[in-house]
Amino acid sequence: MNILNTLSILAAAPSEATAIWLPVFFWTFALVSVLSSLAVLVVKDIVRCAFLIMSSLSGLAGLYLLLGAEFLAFTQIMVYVGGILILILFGVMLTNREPLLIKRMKATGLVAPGVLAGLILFTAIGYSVCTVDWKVTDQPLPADADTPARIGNALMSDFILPFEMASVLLLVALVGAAMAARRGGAEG
Amino acid sequence: MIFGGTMLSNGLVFARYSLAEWIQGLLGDRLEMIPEWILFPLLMLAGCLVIIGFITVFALFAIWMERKVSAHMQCRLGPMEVGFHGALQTIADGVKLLGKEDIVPRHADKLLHYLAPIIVFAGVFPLFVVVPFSEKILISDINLGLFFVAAVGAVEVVGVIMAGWASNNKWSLFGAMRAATQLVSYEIPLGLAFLTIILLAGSFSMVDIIHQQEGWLSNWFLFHNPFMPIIFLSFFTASLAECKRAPFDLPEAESELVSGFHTEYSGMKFSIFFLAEYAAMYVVCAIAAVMFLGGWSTGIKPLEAWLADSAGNPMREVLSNTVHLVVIVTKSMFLVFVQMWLRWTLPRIRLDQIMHVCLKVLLPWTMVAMVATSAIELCWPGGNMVLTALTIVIWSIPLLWTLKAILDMTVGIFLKFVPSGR
Repeated sequence: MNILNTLSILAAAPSEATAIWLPVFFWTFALVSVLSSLAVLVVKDIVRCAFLIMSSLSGLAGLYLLLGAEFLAFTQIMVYVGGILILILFGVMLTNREPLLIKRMKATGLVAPGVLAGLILFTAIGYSVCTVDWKVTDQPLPADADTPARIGNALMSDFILPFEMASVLLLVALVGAAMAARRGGAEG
Repeated sequence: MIFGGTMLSNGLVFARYSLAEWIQGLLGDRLEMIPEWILFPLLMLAGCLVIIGFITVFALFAIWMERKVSAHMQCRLGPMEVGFHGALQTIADGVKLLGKEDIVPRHADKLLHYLAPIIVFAGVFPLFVVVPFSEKILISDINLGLFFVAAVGAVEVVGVIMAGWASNNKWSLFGAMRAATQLVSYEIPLGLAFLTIILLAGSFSMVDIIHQQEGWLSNWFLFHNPFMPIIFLSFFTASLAECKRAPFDLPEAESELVSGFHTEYSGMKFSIFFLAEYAAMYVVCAIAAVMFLGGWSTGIKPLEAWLADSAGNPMREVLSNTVHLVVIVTKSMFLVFVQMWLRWTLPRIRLDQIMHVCLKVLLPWTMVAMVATSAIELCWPGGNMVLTALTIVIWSIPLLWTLKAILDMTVGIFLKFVPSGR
């Protein structure tokens, strides 16, 4: 056995020999993700909730990483942790009047719609998970399974329409935001 | 200088034996007895320890360097007492910080106050995984290197906001808000600069990007076409904002916010913020060196070819790795010096000025340069000597002008005090 080769392979990617660690990582990430999502519901301080969302989203990024979807994992961190979370925190802090923001925990007549929305979402996701024909295989992933080149090619060929639609939507949002800000500035 | 020496000797050890080889040399045949599933986490741990070692040593050196640079720019001497020209001052300060009381404000959010320095450090530490030092001295060359840097780089700001919020101090909160505002401004030019380099190199991997720039100096992406220096300047400016260095040090602004988000931190927690700041300085400079200045490449083609030809010649390999280590660290340290130089030259700018600079100046210029670079890359894939020559000619004018200004200010002033002949 060539130890050097083994070591460099180990350093590059977890192989079969290291598969024993995969459950450890999986459960760590899964527990972090699920427990912090639950805690968001229970914790009263809204800023803490925002930080808990961060740990939940980062746990999800870790799960993507374990699945070999590096690009998705980094995108998750970039978009959610670096972008959306910061905007949430920014919004929470800008609208802050009290020293500590406390969520209202009493039922306010939104219980029924909330439960209904939750049920619909749960059923929809559960239905799609159960009905999709997952292709299970024992083969290792091809080396270029998750390269940005393949994603880029797919986006610019097979999925060009959704891609361009998303760009137009974002452009509209940008222009709209600029307009809204300008009108506010003129009035105030 | 002592620290420089340690760094170099560490580097030599790792140059001779990359981490894996070194471990084998340490354990010999006994390595065979350790099962792979134990080796794997041990290897990861070893990588982490190497990074922590580098960050600590670099911060020790850089803090001393910053104090000396600032002192000499202001005609002072700076620390002179501890060690040769105050070289051991940072160690003394570190010991002092270790002994300080850890104060948590009474009405602070204690949990978040405790976690914030950890998250700030966790936003910088992983970046070292992809920062290369030479062919053999790098932790991992993941094929999404630059994208990883862009993604993880934003985590630090979450820690800063957390620190500002948890301190329950309005100055700290102002600092945190400024950090968030700054982030949404500088991220866009930074991302576009990354995009241009990825476009030129056709790869996200740091090592690939360096290999694309090997050979003569003219192969560096900085000289690819006349628009690249614009992107370099834009990237460097945005990276100053990312490290919260002057003139973009609004989140900590000593004079207005009493050091902003870390006002309420003392002792070790404060020093972790400090460590993370200096580590981030090195990371962005090393990445700028990789992206624009050819990474570890010396820029002399015959020398590079001679160094690369190390088949059956282990000493040549050691030499090659050492030279490359020295080259990339020198390039990065020069950029770190420029960061310090700017800090002690420029006044701090206002928040609206930051947004103006990032969104109305850097963004359009980077956008134009990116589109132009894409067009050039489409017409002449792999670069064009005429364009490179044009770049050097055009950009040598502002460069020479700057050099003349520097010489006037240093040598010129010095000459004034030299008594004339009689």
